[in-house]
Amino acid sequence: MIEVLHSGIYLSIQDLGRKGMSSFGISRGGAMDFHSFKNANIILGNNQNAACLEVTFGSGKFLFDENIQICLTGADFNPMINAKAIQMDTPILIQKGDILSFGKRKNGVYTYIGIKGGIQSEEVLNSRSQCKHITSKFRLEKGDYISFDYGNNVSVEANFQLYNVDVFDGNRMDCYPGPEFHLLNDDQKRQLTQQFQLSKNCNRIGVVLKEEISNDFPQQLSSGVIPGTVQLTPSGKLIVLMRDCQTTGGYPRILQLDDFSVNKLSQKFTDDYIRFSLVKQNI
Amino acid sequence: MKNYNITYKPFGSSAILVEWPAEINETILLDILAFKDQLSEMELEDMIVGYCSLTVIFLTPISDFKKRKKQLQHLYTSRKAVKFSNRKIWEIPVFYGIENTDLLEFSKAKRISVESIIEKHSSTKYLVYFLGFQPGFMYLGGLDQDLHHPRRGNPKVVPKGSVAIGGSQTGVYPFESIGGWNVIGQSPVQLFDPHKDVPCKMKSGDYVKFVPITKSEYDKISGGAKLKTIAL
Repeated sequence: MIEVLHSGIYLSIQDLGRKGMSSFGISRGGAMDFHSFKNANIILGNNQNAACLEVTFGSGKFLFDENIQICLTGADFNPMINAKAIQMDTPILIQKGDILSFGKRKNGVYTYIGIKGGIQSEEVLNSRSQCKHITSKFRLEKGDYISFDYGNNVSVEANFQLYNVDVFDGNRMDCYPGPEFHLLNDDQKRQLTQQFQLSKNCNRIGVVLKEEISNDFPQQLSSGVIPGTVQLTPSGKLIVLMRDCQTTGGYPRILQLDDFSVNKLSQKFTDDYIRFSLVKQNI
Repeated sequence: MKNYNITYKPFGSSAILVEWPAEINETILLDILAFKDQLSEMELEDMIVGYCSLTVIFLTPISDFKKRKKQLQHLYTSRKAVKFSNRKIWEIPVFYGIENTDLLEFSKAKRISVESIIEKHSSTKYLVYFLGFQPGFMYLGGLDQDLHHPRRGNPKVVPKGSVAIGGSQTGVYPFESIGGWNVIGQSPVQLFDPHKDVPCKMKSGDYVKFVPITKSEYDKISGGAKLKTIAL
């Protein structure tokens, strides 16, 4: 078991989410950064969907009461075992009584703690991802215990190939024209090429950007939205929807981030700059 | 079946947005649902129903949009009408009360008596367009024009089970929420239970009727209510 000594800003159990639930108004959810999440499991030889801990902004402290193997991926907050620095993206052997904590931020927002065998927690609608209204708790608190099963969940794949791309590389967000991109005039399209800065309003549901784009679009009839959808709100602010977003929305969807850029954006923080880069689509 | 002039747009790398004419009506909804049924033979990540759209999300990125579009067009023309036997009318009991609701304020603002509001609200059969906003929250169509009323300027906590009106829409909140809708009653039934295989029984294409109940009936049902349906 692992005891949560500090849960920090937002600590939760995540996997790759629940698919096919939108007809109940349930979004897929899951790890904010699929890329780093999967890498933690690949390094440990776990099934790719094995549940991990998602630590927000390096705030969390954990006590292990068993010998196990773990691996940290994603945001680097100078992790330590018993106050001694450990490596990211490397399997780490943990002894009973060890304490995992974090130090100063190097990069990113979300750190994944993968555990050999995966976390064994409440499974609701085919996923262990904690989410409001779905799981009994939507996040972990100080004093919670996390169980895992060493022998379980081991991947049968023979060769583990790490996804060798860097979620922390640059601020370019590759995106496609969204369903309502055609509503934009040339001036609005030009405004989209500027740099955008993340506001304080960033969470698992969405990221609100600071800069505004002039617009007088009417609201439209509610239609599907997915993580990475960039909505243009009546105030001119852009909202990029993230993993726990609603399933439908009524604001024009002007851009759609590609899957990898959703992971990249999740690792950006308030005041960071991003740039949208349109990808040509073969239609 | 009449074939609508529907459009197919790429939506990111792995989804296609299918759009019908931008109107809210039952015929379009049923056409969307017929298409959705036809697509259920494909292996997909999800399909999201909107008022006049269907977002089809594939499990892997689309390498050839034209090919995918052709495949969808073919399935559209071979769809079959949604069976009436698969659709239900759900009776949702509501205690319309003036305590802890906006009913009195609403009545004064609209210059309609409380009795008349209850009568109008509970005599309509509402069409479930789709679920969204919160798990189990139904987007309902059919609210009596006399009951259309703007949202409140100051959003406040709307308790779980609240039956409310916002603009031209009405709905039941499966969970506590912060919102600007005018609360006119409370339903004791649990609309959403994530621990059931089917977490919400109501689905797109079903109907909902609100049945007025008394405070004592409300207290009696609370906790152990069973939803009733009538044949369509």
